[in-house]
Amino acid sequence: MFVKSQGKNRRTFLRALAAAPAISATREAAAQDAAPSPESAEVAVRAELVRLRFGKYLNDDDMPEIKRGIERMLRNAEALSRFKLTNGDEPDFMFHPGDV
Amino acid sequence: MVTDDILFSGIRSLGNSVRARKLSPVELTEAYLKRLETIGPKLNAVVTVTRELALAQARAAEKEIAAGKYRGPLHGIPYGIKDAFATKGIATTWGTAPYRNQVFDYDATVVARLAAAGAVLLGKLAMIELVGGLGYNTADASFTGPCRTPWNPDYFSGGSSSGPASATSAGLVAFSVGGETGGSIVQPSANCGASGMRTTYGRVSRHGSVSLCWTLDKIGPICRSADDCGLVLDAIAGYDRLDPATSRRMFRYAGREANTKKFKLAVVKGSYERSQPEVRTNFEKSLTVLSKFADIEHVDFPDFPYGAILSTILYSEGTAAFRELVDNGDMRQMQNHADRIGGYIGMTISAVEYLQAQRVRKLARIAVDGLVSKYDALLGPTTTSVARRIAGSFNQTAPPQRGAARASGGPQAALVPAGNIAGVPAITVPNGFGQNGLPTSLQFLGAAWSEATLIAAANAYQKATDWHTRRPPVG
Repeated sequence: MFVKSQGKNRRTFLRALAAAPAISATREAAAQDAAPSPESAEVAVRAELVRLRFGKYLNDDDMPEIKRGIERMLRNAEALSRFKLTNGDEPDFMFHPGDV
Repeated sequence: MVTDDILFSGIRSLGNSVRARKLSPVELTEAYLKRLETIGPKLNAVVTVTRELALAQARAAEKEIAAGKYRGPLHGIPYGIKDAFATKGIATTWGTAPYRNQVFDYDATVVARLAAAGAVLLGKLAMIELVGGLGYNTADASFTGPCRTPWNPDYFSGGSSSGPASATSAGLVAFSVGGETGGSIVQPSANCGASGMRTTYGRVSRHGSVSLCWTLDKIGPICRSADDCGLVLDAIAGYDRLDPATSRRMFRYAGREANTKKFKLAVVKGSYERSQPEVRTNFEKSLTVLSKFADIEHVDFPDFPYGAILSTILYSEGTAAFRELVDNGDMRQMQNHADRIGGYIGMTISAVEYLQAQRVRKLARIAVDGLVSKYDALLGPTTTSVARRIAGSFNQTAPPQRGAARASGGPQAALVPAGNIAGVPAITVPNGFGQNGLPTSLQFLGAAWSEATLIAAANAYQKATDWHTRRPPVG
C-alpha cells in the first residue's frame, strides 16, 4: 500500500494540475522540442487523482500499469476528438438499433 | 442407454425423441449431469451444478409429456447458463470472489422463459470475472480458473461466456445462454467450435443479468448448430416490461427448411486477408461453399475508430456499474491484475470523453446500418486467429498475425467491435480447424432484427458442411 501522506499526495497533485494548462498551451512547441509530451503530463495528473482518491487500495506496482491504462484512454479520446461533430450530433443514448 | 451420439445430436433431434417418448428427459438429464460433473471441472467450465433442480425439472417434464402436455422443442432439454444470470436461491457469482456468495430471490427473465419452455437447468457456467469489462489480460481471470477449449485443453476457451461455449462444445449441456458486450458470445464460440449468436440490442431481456454496459449488453444462445440457436432464441426473445430496452418486435423461428431464397452476402475487405493462414484458407473455402446458394460481393467497411469507441464506453459504463467495488476497495479481490486496477483507470475518463464516444458511436452505427441493410449478411472470420494459450498474458500468447485488425481484449476482426457498437446481430459457426487442432470460425453479421435471415444463411452453410457436427476429444 502507499505510504505517502494524504497531504503530500495532494501537493503533488496540485503541482501537476498547475503545470497542465501551461503544457497544453505550448503543445506544438513542446512536441518540436521533444520535451515530455502533453499527454504524459495529463497522464500524470490523472494518475495523481487516482492516487489521491484510491491510494489506500493500491500497491506501489499498480501505478505504472494504471498510467499505461490512462494513456490508452487518452489515445482513445484523442482519436475520437478528431471526428468533426456538429452541435446537433447527439449521443447515442436513445438507442434504437436499425434506425438510420 | 443415453449414448454420446445422443448427447451430441443437438436440440432438434433430442426434442423429437423426447416428444415421441423415445428418450426420457430424466435419463437425458442424468447423462448430461454425469458429463458436467466429471468433464466440467477438467475444463473449468462449471461454477455450480444444479443437480436437484435439474432432476426435479426433468421429472416434471417427463410427467407432462406423458400426460400429453408438450410445451415445444425445449421441453425436457437440459441446458446451462452463464453465471451472470440470476437464479432464485442458487448462487450467482458473476465469476468473481466478491460475489461468490451472492444469491438472488428471483430468476432472470431468460431463466424464467426457459423454465416456461420446459428446459432443464443443469448448472451455472463459468465466466470471466465481471463479464470481462475491466481489461482482463490473462485466461485465469475468473475465480474458477482458466476455462479451456475442449479441442485442446492447453488453450483458452475465450470469454467472457467461457463456460457456455466450452460446455456446449464438449457435450456437457445440450445448449447454453451467454451474454455479449464486446465479443463475449462470438469469440468463445469461435474458440470452442460452437455456433453462437449475438442478438440485436433489445431482442432478449437483460433483466436479472449482470450489467456491464447499459448501452451495449446483449444476450444470446450458444449451441451446436445455427438451427438450435433459432430454437433457443424463439423461447427467450421478446418484450419484457422489466427491461426497458426490449423491443416489441416478435421473433418466431420458422425452422431449418423455411428459407429457399438465394442469399445476398458481402465479404468485408480487410477482414480476413491478414489472418492466420489457416483462418484465411478456411474462410476462402467457406466462400466457395456459400457461393453455391448466395451471390457474394466484396465491400469496404465504414472507417471508424471502433476500438476507441467501444473501449471508452465499456470502461466508463463498466466502472459506473461496479462503482461500489471501486469505492470500497473490493476490486482487490479480482483474480486478474488488470481487472483489479481497471476500475481506477475508468474513473479518470471524463464525462465529455464518454459523451464524445457516444456521439461518434451514433455516426458509426448509422454508417454500419447503411451498409448491412443492403445485404442479408456481411461475412468475415469471427477471429483472425485460433485460440491463444492458457499460460501467460495475452500480450505474450497472441498468436502470430500479420497486422490484422485487433479489438480490445483479443484478435477479433473489426466486425466484432463494430457490430457491438451498432447493436446488430451476428451468428458465428465453425468452418474448419487451424493450428494445434483448434477450430476456426465464420461470422455472419446482419442488420438490426435480422436474426431469422442470419440463422437461415448459417443453416444453409451447415447443411453443406459438417464442421458443427465434429466432437472434441474429451470424455
